[in-house]
Amino acid sequence: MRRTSVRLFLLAAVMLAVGGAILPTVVGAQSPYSTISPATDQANDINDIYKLTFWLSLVVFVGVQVGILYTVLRYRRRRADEGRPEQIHGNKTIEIIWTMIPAIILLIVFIPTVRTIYAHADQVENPDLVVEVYGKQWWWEVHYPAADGEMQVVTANEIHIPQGKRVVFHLFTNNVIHSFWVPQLSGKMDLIPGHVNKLAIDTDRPGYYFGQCAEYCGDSHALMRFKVIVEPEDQFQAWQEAWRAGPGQASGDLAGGDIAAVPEGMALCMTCHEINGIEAVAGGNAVPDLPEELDAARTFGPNLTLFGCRTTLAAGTLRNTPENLTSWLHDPESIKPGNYMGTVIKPGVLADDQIQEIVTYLESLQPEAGCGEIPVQPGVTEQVQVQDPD
Amino acid sequence: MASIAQPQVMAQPITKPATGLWSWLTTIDHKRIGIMYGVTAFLFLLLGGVEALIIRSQLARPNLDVVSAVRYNELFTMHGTTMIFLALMPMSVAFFNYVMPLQIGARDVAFPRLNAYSYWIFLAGGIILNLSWFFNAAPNAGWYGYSPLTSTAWNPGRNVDFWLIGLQVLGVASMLAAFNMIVTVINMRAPGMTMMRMPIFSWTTLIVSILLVMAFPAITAALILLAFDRYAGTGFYEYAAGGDPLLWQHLFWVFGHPEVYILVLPAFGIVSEVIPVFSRKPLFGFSVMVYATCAIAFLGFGVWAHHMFTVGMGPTANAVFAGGTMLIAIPTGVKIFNWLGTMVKGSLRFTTAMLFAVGLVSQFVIGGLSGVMHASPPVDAQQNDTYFIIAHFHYVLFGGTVFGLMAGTYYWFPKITGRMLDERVGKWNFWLAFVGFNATFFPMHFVGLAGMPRRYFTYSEDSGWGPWNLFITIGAFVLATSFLVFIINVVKSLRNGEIAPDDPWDAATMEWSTSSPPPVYNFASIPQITHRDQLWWDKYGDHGAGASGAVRKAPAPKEHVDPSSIHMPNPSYFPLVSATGFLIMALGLLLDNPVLTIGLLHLPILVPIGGLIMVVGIYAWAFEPAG
Repeated sequence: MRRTSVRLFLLAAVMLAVGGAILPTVVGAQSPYSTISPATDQANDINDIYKLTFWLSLVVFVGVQVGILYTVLRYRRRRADEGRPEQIHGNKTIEIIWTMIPAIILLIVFIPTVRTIYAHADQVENPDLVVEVYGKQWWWEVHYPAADGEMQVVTANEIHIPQGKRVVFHLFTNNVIHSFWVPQLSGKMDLIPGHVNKLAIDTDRPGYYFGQCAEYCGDSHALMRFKVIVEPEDQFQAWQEAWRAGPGQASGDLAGGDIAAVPEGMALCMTCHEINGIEAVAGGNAVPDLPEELDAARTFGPNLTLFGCRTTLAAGTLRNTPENLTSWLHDPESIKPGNYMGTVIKPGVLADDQIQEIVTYLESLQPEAGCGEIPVQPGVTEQVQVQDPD
Repeated sequence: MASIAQPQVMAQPITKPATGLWSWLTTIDHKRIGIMYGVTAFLFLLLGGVEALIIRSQLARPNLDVVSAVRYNELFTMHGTTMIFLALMPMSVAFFNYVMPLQIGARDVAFPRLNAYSYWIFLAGGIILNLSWFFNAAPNAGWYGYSPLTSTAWNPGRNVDFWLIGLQVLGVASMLAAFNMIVTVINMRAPGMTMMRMPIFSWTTLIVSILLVMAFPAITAALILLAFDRYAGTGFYEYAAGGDPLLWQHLFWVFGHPEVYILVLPAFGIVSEVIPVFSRKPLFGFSVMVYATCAIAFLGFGVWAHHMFTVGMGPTANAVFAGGTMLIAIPTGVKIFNWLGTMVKGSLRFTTAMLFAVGLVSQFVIGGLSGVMHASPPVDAQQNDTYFIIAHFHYVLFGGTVFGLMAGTYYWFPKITGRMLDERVGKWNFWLAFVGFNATFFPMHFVGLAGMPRRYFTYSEDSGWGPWNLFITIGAFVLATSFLVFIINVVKSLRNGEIAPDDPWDAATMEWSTSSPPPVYNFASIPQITHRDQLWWDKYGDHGAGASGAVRKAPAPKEHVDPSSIHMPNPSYFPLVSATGFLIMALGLLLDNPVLTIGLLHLPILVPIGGLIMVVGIYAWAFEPAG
């Protein structure tokens, strides 16, 4: 009996240690949102503390579980008439020891924690580039700095940033609280009305990094995804130039080939959306009276400049294809519950031929030189997140 | 049961307790109120469980459409609110009510009618919260209701109103119950029961009640400000009006973090009773356990902002709150080790109660360790609001609280009902719960590390979260079956379970010295307390070191006391009347009803009507003869 117990408990110890060590690491890394596949110094700092806490926890976990198992097997009552065991009320020395052990372990975690907190706090004060991010229900607006007289680049849901720079995100919201989170780049930081929070990352490898809103913000909180696109400096500059230049000549399949010839149906769109270089849309649909609940904080939709280069629609909900854009323009509510575009664009508001014109037009909004490829390096995910509608 | 010889089964008390619905509606007996709390809370637990199963069904695969996004958001809000306020807290209160007065040798709580009033108001709060489903306006802003998502601008429906009025009503119930428990413990202990002779569960009752009294005012104030913002157009939480959404977060978590200890400490108290009894050894380091409970409760008030590491409080605040949070791990660790120390060199008997108790020790460690991980703000910045957190606090609130409450149920069921729960079915119950619980919540660590945020009604295929989510959903259904087994056990045992003797477990505390179930007056004569673990002392004499193998003493002959000579308060229906008024008043703020306009005052008619009933009820009860 005794030997079986010892074997059992040794086996359990080994299984616990191996299982505990391997499983979370292997399993947790299998996602473009993995919190343990760092791609910046900041994410790496965090991961180092995580690994420290993980290994310490594993030791304590295995120690305690094995202790429990051993006690349970060793001191099981074997006979019903077993006498009362010795009545031990406590032991001061032992109790002091097991008060001290956790204290020491915690100190080991606390020191690098404090160092990292202050280091990261300092970093936000020394940016190479400041990017302003505005949380909306349920998408992200991105503003880039502009020199005097220069046009400010404004985009949505896909944040281009240059490689090898310290980029500091300044985070704003004029509605509810959101949280800006790109797990591979750094921890999350909340967007809170009336507060400006800052988050620094030192970009390293070029590629697509997947982000998402991490603070519950209403109906479609789960569909508030975004991407950070880290690209070589020259490519980043070229992208900004292209944005400022406005859309190039439209591709051949656009009626008339004239980018300024905005389809009539777009008049309605332009109530809330902007396209750089397109001032207004003549004629077309009368702008309807907007529902009462649509105030300024809601009537502002994503900037659609260079829309044809976006990889997704509706903040990462759908892959950007003409078919998906058609479904979206037909009935946004069915794809993204509660979104404000759906309070105006209901099935039938836009005629099918209008939708086709708008789709063709929007997909043609690309720089003259094309969208360009991001040189994706190994270890960086290339996937596009999609949710295809039925 | 067969293993321990029983001296005798006490004769039933001479005065039969009253039966029938009316006797329950008017009861002021702490034992019956305890049962009512327990049964009601269990029904709410099942409701919250069904909500959880719907949530899990929706998440079983990517892009499922089992429920709409709107419904899903209501479900997770109500799952959290229900489990915390309507299931776990009142279940703890059920044990406080039933067990504590018996443990301290009292005939009832200090304020029996107030006790009934607490229960009825709790029930009113539960009704209000769940009535919202029938108006298609279930609370939808999360159990933590972060502003501005609760403002009329961003949440114009009645959803948040149901939530805030419901919580406010529940707060009244909690405060009344807590004061009652505090006064009872302080004033009603049997002669000779000094504080350090008091059983550890009664200690826990006292400390948790003090926590309640200190924590609830914070959420009450927070909810009042929210009510002003919503009903009167003030802007306490609105940045544009000079307020601040972070004010809500601070006020909420000043309540919300102690609330965690309000939920888990009662379970700690229960296993601190169960483990010594089934180890046949006194609790290791009794006084240290008491101090550790006090320390956890005290430190629990200084760590609220660890829920807010990502709101941008700045490095100093984050570092300080990280340090405070880590400190709590020390007294908590002491508890774990002391439970282990109690078992070492004991004579362990694995009844279902003991299995659940040891299960708590084992599983709570996991929740504690993951808690230390995100006590570090940088790590928290990755784990906060992900499934890692969900895993963490379910290891605390299920692996801790629910396991503890189950241990308590299996332990005290014989005392409460006079029947034993079936041990064989109980083992099935435990192992299904243990396996289902771990299958459900352990993989949540993985999906959390893989970046899956909480409160997502759906996720994409490419996230890679699909396979484990399917596994988790299957685990959740296994876990649910453990509750079915529990229900079967209770029903079966109530009908034809083994008759419980007075002291089936050879226990150490005074509730086991009276009959099972106890008479209305609990004890024929109030016991004299000379030692901690008095009942062991009575049975075995000095159980100090070296008393191994002590011979069981013959039980002292029971003194015969004529029950009619014992003064017990009369039943009263006024607590129910007054609570009904309270319910009507609260509903007046939520449902469409004619509005009375007197000058600037717009009063929905149900409010003064309900208020009048409430006041009349309290007035009548004040002048009712006590018996």
